[in-house]
Amino acid sequence: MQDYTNYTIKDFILDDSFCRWVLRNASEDAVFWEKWTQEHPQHAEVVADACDLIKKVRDAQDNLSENELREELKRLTKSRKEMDASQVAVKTTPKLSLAWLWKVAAILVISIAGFVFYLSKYSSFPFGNYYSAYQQRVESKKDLFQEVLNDDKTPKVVSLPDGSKIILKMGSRVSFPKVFSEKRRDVYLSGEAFFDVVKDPTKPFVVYANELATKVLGTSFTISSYEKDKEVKVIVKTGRVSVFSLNKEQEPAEQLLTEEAELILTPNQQVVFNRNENRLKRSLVAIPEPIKPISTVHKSLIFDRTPISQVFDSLEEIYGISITYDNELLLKCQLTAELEKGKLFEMLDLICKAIEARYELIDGQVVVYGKRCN
Amino acid sequence: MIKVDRIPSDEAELAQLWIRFRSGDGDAFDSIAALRYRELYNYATRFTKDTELVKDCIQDLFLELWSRRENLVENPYVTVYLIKSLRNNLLRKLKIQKRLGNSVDIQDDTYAFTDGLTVESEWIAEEFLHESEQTIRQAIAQLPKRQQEVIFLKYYEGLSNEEIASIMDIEKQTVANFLYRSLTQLKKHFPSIIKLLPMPFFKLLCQLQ
Repeated sequence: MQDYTNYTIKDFILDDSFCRWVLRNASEDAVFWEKWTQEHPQHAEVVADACDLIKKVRDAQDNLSENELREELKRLTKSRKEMDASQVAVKTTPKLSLAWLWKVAAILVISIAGFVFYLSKYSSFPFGNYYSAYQQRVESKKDLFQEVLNDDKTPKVVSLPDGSKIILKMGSRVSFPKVFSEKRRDVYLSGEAFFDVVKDPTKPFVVYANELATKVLGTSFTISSYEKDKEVKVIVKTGRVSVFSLNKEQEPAEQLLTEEAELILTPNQQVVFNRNENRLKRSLVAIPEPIKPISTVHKSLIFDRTPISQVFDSLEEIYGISITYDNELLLKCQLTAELEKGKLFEMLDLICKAIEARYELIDGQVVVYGKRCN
Repeated sequence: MIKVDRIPSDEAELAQLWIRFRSGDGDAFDSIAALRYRELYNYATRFTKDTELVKDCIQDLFLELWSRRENLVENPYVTVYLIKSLRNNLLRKLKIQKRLGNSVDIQDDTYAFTDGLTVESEWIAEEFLHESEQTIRQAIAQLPKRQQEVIFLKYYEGLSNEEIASIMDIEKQTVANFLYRSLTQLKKHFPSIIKLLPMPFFKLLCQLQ
């Protein structure tokens, strides 16, 4: 039996059984330690201090609010039920109407603007190269696919077999399988559309539009993309999506959307596909917007001799962006300021001025270069 | 008596839930998630600040367990099993992001393997006693990632050095070294407070005053 009477606070907090008792209250440890503290009242203070310290260190590592916890647990239960429902459906008859029952509130909205929309509207040449790209892709699948064309002036709502919805803009068309495959929900787009996608982690939702494939990763978020002649753009407001560029020669659905080839977009990031150079470029949007509803965030940020790492942390949290800096170098830098919330780049300018640093935007991130503060 | 809260001794309960979950009991599955979600989340945030990624990773982990439930281990040490699985998934994801040039600090130099440390300095627990949670939070955030991880597994999860070693795939002695070194480094952030006073002497001092 270990002799604990010589134990200092340090020995206690390094002791496995002691920590287990404080943190997990495991019965075998509890029996021992409760008895021990009763028998050694003279050590009660050290024990109490050690407990206190361990709990403080524990609480200092807690980052999850009760709300978030509840939300995530709800989301998990829902996904589990959807998973079961889809498996049952596959085993019996794949009835399309069943899909409506699994529709959930957590919705993803994607808008992908197709090039053809503008081309067909303003040019005498109605179906450009990009329409043919779409046509080539769906041609061979005609029997298994359903195509919807909106030749009306008002947007048209299209329902997919899984309960997802598409709002199709004028002059646009979309093709999708009458029954989605077991592995993936593939949708082909020509033109411009919004997508309301039902979350199903077992079946990624992939939209093929011209040279890009956009895959849904997280729960609810918005992508909107704008098209110019030479570029295809996808912008993320909140949440996460991944974007892949497609090889034109190959059947899109057969191309491996591997993790290695994907570009993940987080809030306030955008990706631009340059048709001439045939490459994807990720950057921050021109005016990053807070990802949390304004009402829940204070109007201005007040810092009073706040370590710079905390200042950056709050900006990262508000805008969902990533700020990179040399933590060790800027360790002693502090900021005292009241910053009007709203314009990220203005705030960064002010902060950098205060600590004599500068920042650059690299690959959709903020990189801060500074020097040691005293 | 000292009151213990938040993390109850529920490993036995978890083991029971695990058996029911494996036979397809959805409620048991939800209960496991409810019991361990907070711990997994806080653990994962040691590796990345990207909380959306963390949430997705945990969702994926649980859904994968659910879909493979019939083929899972029969009777694991559930907490350690979950932590280890999450760690593997998360590190794989982060490595891929890193390769793509996303900001991931998991593989920075501070995370590099450092074994066989020599620790000369003593650390003094008393220094922390009167520090606020906020100060401790900051001090921990300054530590190298790997040390943060050890501190978390030890002082959040209450795991033994041996269990930590199995999760992080390192030697037990390395865990002890990391732990020791972390606590030594934490000390450096509170230089203003009493230095190197042994506990009895400190108490004596208080009594004299």
